[in-house]
Amino acid sequence: MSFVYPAGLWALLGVLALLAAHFIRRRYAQRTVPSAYLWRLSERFLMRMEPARRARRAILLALQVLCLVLCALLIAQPLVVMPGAQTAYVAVLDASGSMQITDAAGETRFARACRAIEKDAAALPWGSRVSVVLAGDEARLAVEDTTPGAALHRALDTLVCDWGAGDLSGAMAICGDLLASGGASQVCLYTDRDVEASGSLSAVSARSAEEWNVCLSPVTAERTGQGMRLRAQLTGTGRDADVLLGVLVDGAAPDAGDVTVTVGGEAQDGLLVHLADGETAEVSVLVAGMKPESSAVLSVQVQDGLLQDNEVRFCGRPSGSTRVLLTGGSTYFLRKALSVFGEVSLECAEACEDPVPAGYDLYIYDGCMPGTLPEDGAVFLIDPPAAPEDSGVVLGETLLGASISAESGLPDGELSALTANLTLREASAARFREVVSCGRMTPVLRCGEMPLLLAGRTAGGGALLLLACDIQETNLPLTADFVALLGNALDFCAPQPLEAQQYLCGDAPALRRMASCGTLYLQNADRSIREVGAQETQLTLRDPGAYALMAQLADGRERLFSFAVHMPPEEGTDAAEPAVLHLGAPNAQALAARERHMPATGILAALLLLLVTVEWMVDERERV
Amino acid sequence: MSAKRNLLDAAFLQTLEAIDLYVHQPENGQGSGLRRSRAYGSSTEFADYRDYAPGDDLRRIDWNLAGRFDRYYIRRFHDEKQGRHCIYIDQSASMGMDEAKATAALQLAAALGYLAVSNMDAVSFRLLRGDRCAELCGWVAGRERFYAAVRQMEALDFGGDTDLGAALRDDRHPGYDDGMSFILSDFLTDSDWKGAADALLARRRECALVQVLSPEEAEPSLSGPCRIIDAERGGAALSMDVDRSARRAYREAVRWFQEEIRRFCVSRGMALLTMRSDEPVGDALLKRGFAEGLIR
Repeated sequence: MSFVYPAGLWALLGVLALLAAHFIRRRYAQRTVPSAYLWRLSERFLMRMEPARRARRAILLALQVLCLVLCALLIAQPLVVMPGAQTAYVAVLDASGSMQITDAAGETRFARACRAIEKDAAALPWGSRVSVVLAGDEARLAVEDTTPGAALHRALDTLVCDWGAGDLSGAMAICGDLLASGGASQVCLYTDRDVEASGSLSAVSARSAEEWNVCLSPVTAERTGQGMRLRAQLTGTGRDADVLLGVLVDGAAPDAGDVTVTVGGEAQDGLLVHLADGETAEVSVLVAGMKPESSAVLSVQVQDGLLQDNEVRFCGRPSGSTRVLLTGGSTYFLRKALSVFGEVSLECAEACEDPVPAGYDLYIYDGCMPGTLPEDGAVFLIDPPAAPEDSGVVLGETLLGASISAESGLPDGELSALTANLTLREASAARFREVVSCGRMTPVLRCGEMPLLLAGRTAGGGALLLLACDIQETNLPLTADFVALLGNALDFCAPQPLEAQQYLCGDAPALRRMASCGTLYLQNADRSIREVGAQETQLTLRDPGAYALMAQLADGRERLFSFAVHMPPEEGTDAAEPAVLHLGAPNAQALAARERHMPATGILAALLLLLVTVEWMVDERERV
Repeated sequence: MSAKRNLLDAAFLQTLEAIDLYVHQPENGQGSGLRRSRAYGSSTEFADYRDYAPGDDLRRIDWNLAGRFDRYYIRRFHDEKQGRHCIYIDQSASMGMDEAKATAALQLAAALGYLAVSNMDAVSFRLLRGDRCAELCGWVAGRERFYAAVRQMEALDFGGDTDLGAALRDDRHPGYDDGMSFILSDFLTDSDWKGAADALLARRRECALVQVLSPEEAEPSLSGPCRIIDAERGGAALSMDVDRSARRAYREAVRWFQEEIRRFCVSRGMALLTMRSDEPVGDALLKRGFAEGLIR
């Protein structure tokens, strides 16, 4: 027998201390009584009542010594060879959204897989250990080295299935590590996907023959002259079905005359659609008179195995205007261009005021610049007399112009978005200011080789744009690029909190905050509302449904950004490609080493508990 | 010398006025008293007739019978004698270790003495110490002498080891068929006190045992490992772990011991009065004294 901490055996010295304490404790207290006659008499009675009384103290001492020895062994942690061939069984449990499909009896694939794990674990040899890797939105080792039976059942009961696509590759990586470290000898994947397993991996299907499901893919919207056209794909699996389509616009059903439904290119008389098993139909719904800012819900009304993929949403343009303060003497072109954006609330001023007015999302200064830049919003400086002090930018002489081009090699993200949708085919500037040093700002547009448009951040954290030329000295206002550039600048300076309005379960989109944005609240799919902490840079979207981000702006205004989270369409259709998964052979050496040295702490602890209980029971009889 | 005790108060004495010791007919009482004797004497209570014999007092001839039967009969009357009661007080250390126990024992002795003298009897308090028996103050008759005796008892101290049997046998004048003998003790001794009590019965004395136990003796408060020291003998008597079982055994021993005394008393026709020192003496005497036939 070997020990993990042999030094723990020094605790056996405690036995000597216990024996010493025992005999010291036996010192009698002298008590004088009127007459010892009755005590002598009672001693005879006592001997008759409890013949083994004298042995009890010896038994107690022996039990205490045994307890102490067990404690010393527990500290030293002996390693013993366990009989039988143990198995380190690893179950990979697919926790993707499709595992929540229920069969006719109401049992989900996930529950069926859990049951299968318990059954397979129960058949393992005695002493085997079971681990469970949960392949949800993020793969993780959810249950580590537990025993089959009640412990495994309790652990499986705590696991929850996600709605996104399962991270099977992550789960395989964890299993690979376990195989290499000797923590796994068998790996079995419990999933509803078609899997070609090889190597140490085996697969168990969690599907049932009694399942059927109808799935709608996320909706796309297209603005037409008559209204909005919503498109989605409808897929049925398991059996043929007649499904009833439902359309809601801004929470209400539109007039029947305003809705035109086309399935597979053929116009439908009503909203009832026949769907064959395995068939995917293109559904197009034209809603006359629907505005881009309206929201729509497209649904199929059917009681199938998974209700969460029977409804998809289109979220309309976000509500709430962007307040822009435009300061400058000749701002005609800018005012005209900004009026194109319906969500912009524009105010104009002739000259810079002191103190700087507050409460705007974007401050545009054309040909002028305040002494102190506002910190509660984004700033767009056009042909400023000087560069902001803390930007590090140095402006030089006025140079003769050249053609305008976009900066190449911009990283993906908000900077590259500034040049999105720009053609800049014939854009040029007659004159511009030389940018001697860019400081902490990044060139986005160039005039010839010289930086023309720079992007950075103000001291307050807001966006800062600097255009080093007078707009009237360029031909930009004559091109479509001008509106596109202003639109990009608006998006950069006063961005929507999320990039898109539709996401899939498991996505974690980056959160974009305006400088003027105060507290941000998130309404979840279950209608619960929580405050989004200032440190959160991205949202983790797990449940399908309608979400909303509400921003409380500094000046008291509110902005509402609605977005929808859908299940990945392949989760509802079982249409995913068969996964080819392979795991290498287990590390036999590490596995053997681990099996030989099973710590006996559990047995020792149980023995200790038993002894303490017996000692307590014996001692209790003595206690007065 | 212990602190002076107050053994009798007026209220208690008034209670005692209403009761009397239940004494059977003594034959050898001394002097005249109120106890009806089995001997014939000169009381007013008619007892029997006998034939006239020359020399008899002619005033005792029943002339009515003489007229009817033409024979002379002498009327005989019961004699009324003074009872002579002995109250033996165990003066060992076990009786005096608990002051309440000593006081209770002396109060009970004083109460019995008062019952005796208030009914024209004489009483003698005898102290049992070591193996000797000593009189406190000789025979006491009349209340003046009784109160003087009680004052002496109030200052009585206890101590030493008493051999109850030997001390009782040491009594040189235990009397013969002339009254009652009360033995006040806790009887927690190996001594042969039963033999001594039998010796008193052989002298046609009516005997009564009065056992006084302290609460500590009935329900001890000892716990844990104890070396138990006897207050009378000194030195360690025994070592014992006083736990739940030991306490149960002690209670069994007390019950057995008291039953043993009772069996002895019943077999000898003796009265037994058992009291705890934490109960009022009046209650013990009035409630259990009547039941045991000690008082009436």
